[in-house]
Amino acid sequence: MRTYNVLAWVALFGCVTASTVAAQGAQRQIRGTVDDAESGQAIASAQIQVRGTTVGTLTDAEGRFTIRVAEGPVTLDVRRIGYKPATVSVAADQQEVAVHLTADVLRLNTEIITGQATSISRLNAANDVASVGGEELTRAHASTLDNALQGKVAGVEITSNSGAPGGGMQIRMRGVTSIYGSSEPLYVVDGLPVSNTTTASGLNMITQGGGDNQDNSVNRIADLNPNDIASIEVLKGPSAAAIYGSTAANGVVVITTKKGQSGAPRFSFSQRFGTHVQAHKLGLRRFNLADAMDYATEVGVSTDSVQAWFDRTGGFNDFEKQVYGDKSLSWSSNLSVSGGSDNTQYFMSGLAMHDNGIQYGTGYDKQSLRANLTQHVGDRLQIQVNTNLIHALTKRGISNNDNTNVSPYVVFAATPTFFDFRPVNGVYPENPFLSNSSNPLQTIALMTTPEDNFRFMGSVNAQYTVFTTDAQNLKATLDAGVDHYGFKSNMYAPPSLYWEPADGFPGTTVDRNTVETRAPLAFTLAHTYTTGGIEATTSAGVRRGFDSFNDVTITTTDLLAGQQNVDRGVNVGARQNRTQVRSLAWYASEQLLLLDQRLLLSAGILGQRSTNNADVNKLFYYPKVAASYRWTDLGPMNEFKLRAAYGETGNEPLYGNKFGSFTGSPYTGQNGVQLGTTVADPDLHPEREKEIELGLDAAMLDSRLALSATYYQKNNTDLLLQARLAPSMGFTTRILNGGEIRNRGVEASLTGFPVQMGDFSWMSRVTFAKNVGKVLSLPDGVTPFAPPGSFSKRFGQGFIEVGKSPSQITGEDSVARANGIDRVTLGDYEPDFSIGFSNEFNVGPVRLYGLVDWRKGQSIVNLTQLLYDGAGLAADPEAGDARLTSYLHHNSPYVQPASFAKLREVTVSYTLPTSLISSAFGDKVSAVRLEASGRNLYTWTKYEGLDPEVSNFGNQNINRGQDVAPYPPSRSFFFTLGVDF
Amino acid sequence: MRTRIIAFALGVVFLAACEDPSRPDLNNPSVSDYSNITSVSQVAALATGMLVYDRASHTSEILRAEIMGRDAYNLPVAEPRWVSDLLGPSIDPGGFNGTSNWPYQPIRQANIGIHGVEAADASVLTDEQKNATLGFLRTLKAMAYLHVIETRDTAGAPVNVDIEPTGPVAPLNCEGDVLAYIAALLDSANTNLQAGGAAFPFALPAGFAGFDDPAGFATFNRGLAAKVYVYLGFLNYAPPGGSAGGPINTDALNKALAALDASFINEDASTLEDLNVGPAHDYSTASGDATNGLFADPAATDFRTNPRVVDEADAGDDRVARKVVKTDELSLSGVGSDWTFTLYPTPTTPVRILTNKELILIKAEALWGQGDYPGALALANTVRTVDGGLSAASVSGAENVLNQILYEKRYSLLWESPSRWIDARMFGKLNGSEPPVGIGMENDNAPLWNIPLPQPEVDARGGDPNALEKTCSVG
Repeated sequence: MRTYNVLAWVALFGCVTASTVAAQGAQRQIRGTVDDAESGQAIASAQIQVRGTTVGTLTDAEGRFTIRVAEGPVTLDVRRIGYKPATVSVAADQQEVAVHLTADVLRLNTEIITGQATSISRLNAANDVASVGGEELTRAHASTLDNALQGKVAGVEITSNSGAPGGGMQIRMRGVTSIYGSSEPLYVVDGLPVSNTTTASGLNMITQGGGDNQDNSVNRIADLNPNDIASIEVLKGPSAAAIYGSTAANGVVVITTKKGQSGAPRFSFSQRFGTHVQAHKLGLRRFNLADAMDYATEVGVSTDSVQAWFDRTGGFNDFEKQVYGDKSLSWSSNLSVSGGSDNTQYFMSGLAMHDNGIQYGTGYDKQSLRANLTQHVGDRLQIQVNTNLIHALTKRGISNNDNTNVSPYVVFAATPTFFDFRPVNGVYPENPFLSNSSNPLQTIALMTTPEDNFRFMGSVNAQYTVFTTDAQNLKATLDAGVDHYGFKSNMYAPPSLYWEPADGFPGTTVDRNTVETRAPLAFTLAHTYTTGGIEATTSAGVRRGFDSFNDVTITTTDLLAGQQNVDRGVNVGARQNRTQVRSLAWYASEQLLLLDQRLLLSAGILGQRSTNNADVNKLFYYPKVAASYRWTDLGPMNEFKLRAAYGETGNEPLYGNKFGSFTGSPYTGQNGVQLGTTVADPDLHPEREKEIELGLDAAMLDSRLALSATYYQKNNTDLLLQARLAPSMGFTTRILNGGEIRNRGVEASLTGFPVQMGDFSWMSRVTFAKNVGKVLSLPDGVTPFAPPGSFSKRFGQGFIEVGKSPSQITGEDSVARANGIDRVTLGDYEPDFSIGFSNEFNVGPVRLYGLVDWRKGQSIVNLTQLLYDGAGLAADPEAGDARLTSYLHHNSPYVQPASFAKLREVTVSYTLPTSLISSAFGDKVSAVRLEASGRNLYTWTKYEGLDPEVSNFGNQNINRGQDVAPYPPSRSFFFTLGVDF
Repeated sequence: MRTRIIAFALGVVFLAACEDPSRPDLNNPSVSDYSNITSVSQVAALATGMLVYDRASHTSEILRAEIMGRDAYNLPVAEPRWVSDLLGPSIDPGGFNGTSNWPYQPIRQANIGIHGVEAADASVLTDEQKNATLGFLRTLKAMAYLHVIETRDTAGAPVNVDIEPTGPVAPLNCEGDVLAYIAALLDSANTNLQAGGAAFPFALPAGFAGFDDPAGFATFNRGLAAKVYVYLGFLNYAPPGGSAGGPINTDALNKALAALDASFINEDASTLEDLNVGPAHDYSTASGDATNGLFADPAATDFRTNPRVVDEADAGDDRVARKVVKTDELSLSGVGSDWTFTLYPTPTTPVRILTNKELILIKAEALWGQGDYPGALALANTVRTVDGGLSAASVSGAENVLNQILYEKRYSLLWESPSRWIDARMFGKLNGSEPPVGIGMENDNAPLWNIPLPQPEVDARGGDPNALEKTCSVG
């Protein structure tokens, strides 16, 4: 509430101030036009600013503007996103001016965030900050944001945890940086952090999968509508992200949403239709009658029924098709409108979409409404209000690890394909191959798994120009916002399911309610001083963070038939988890552009305290220094820049780590307390990440080729670890800071226009990233350990030991075992390198675009295959037997190479000729676009599992790449009609 | 005007900076909630928690001691270590037996509570209430140490553990030091209880009826003290590997007799009820509560009685008929029996902590140590006649009287106390003396002397169990 009061005050004073700042001196008027230097098309919404003043305006839809300026010669700065900025001198007697802007296709001129209220042109930036435009995100249908980003940024590895509809992806930048700490990057939308919490459904109460992290959950950044995004910048390491302090150790994704542009309302509508189909099948064993009889006899199923099944279905039922064959229609409708006057601009959008899930009964529905309003009050105050309301309904069915034989791929692993799950006379046959009679088709028909999320994100950005002169400018910026969601899931397995009575309690209903609220607030003062080739930007401010989380799960078993309410069963269990985190940071930075914008020197520091640290009052400091030097027209190069940056960030202890706590413990009706087993070090503090980044950027051949190369070394120290205590201390585990992980790597990208002739152009882009991680040390008392969230060394398991990669997969090897070595390194779940390769061809109105995402050298623990081998039901049972024998002789054959290349996106689009449009629709419609696109169309891999992108445990730093009966991957095909009017 | 806007906005943000940033744990009560006592309900929760700890430790110790003392077996198919550890040549110090009976968590909790109560404001707890609570917490803390030293014996144990948990580890003390410390702790608890007024500021469970006010609880405290002083009296009587007959500390035995006088001992017991007077742990099947870990349904249990318990009993001993029953033969790793226990017929049957019959037999041991063999035998015969329904034994000579006391202890405390194994060790009957009177050897392994120090404890002290430094001051 306080926040809004402040804004009201700021707005009020702004009004008063504006009215007092009035006409000054004699004035004249300049009229002008802005157009595209190449095509001559008018450019709307270009910003015109009179240098040394706050006077500015925007061009209208025809690219025209008029502006009042003082007598005498003036200089105009002209800017427009997607174009290189231009500077025009207007002589004292000149009344008209024509400005031609050159397209900035390589995005060399984009502004890069360097602070809460400061930025710098990419030409000078001292960091490799990847920037992705909104248009690049929506070329092919993507239901979630992280989905749309895959493969597009060097060094940003985005992996889907499963193929289930509605998201669940992990973004990782520059290697494993933490073991017990948070693994999530920080998402900042329009200047303020938003939640990316993973909300678990509670499915594990039914699968007994062993914890929320095996629920195949969605991380909530999936809620954002990719169509609303103007641009995304990715700050990969602390050298760029230091200003975000102790929440930025996993990188920062800075998202800017689309803003309004003045002029008549411009509508943009796109309608997509398409579908998802299973991209890859596991392949199930086929039986001949004799083998089937043997198999049935061995597992104690009557051979008479085998004969009957063969008579009816010929001995093979494609279970995968029966369960994952849903190809129903998916669609997405997006409408946006933008417009406004000189003082008020708006952008509004609405999205309604439905993704089919390939598993029957699953799917993803999302509706999103956004209204972004920009209001100029006088020429000193600008208020930007962004609001977004989202509803997402995700139905993900059952998948992943399952100890109750209900997940389809687990059931298939125990049921030979000569059995037929399909109903006979409306009755689903009981599965004789499983003691719980589980029939996945019955499960799909009767069980419901809705996850419903309502979310509101709103932010206000108020910028007030305190004073401005030819050389100086002081701006005050207030950012305030709220991000609130209410997540509700209801996993309902009715008593009539064959497997429900297996635990003696027929029927399970899990009702889960999660509510999270974030309310960040920041105030920044930024001062710019420009004189004789020097530009100095000084900024300072404070930022407050508030996050409150409440998760209540009620599980009821032994239900009345047909009753879903949690009070309609016999056994009711409740669980609650609450957290609240507050933080406060102040920051100051200095950015110097010297030598005619050639040399950049910058330094900054942030001090932050948080209630997650043991000492809640202590400020932890995160410094940053950076420099770059830029040459223009150096030999064949139009631009050449060398850059170096150093910075530090942190990773806070998790909520509750610092508390030594008691647990409740009753004694015949009397409530008692018992001491917990864990004690935290009294100085428990954030992990620290230090990074040095060196690089060069070059543009050559008339800016048709751009190269960027970066080397970094990142050291994570003071890791949050657990040591075993002498039990005589009264505790068994100590949480402490210590140890060190180092990541080193290179990233490079090359973008070019090999061909650009008349109507034909070809743009090609390659990104490359390689990271090598190593555990340098572990503190006293911490012996090498298998971090939590893995199954067993027998299968293949992460293991943290000095001198090895933190993402190594260890396992058993019979030869080594004979020599007394019980654990060997067998692979790594991080790739040796990854490459993104995209190409875009434009031939007149036709555009063809494709993106390939290639990752080499990573491994996966294929436990799905172990399930099939164990039951003799692998597609190739002999190979399965061989693997199983090897496994039983203390080898780990299920650690398998999983290099892959995926054809992520292919788009063909056709823009109707203007002449055709105007003859058909007159001037009401400005553009019509037809598009056909596909996602994940093809995967090249030797991995035999369903998908080389998989993580049973969802979003976590360690023990990724465990494959246990996941939701299979899909490919999607969409047809799009886009209309601008 | 501008300045005012900025000043105002800055002011708002810094207001946020000025608020107290500390936040409590929202999910669990935190340690600081109990180190800072502001209400009587905190005291009650702490005290109840101490009983929860002891309830688990008590049955855990009885079970293991009765197996190591060769009167009981636990033979679950899925867990062969109940045989291979406890009847085997040695216990794996890192396994679940090696790390068992090391209840330092309640000791830490008692220390948190003691400091909290000492510092509590007079408006929360009166002086009498403080004394009553301190007396209770110190007694329960002493019981935790007693579980430790009874199972570790000569391996010793750390005593000064009221230290920073993340700092250096506490030194290891000799058995004698630990016992002296426990005795002093019980004495100071008794002083507290004597000044504890008429009632505890919290309720004790039903099993403590008669011992649920400071005066009653003090008689229980004195019983425990007598037990510890007897341990001190015979500390050097039979060292491991040596023969029995070492020095007896009569001063300690005098203290034991004095403590017994202040305890709830009743030497004139004439009924089973008289003998079984004493506090007991209660159980319940309510959610979160515990059931009796020694409960045995004869048709389903993995617990078995060593057949020699039946074979070696005097003819007509009622205690055998009351406590064991014939059931299916069950065997594992070469150990088997078709007898099991009937002492706890339901999962909520209470387990006695300390009984009048045990106090009478402790007094017999003390008198025996002072050379009063007739006096000792008379006490043993009280238990024998009332509990066993047998005629009084008439034996003479030190060794015979001792054996008679140990016989009565074996059968009267069968499956309800760890004392048979502890007594056998204390009086030199685990040293392979020929034949170990009353100790049934079922396989080739000699009975174990103690449970080793837990592996994590050894690791924190350098990792070599043979190179541990011990602090010894009491002989």
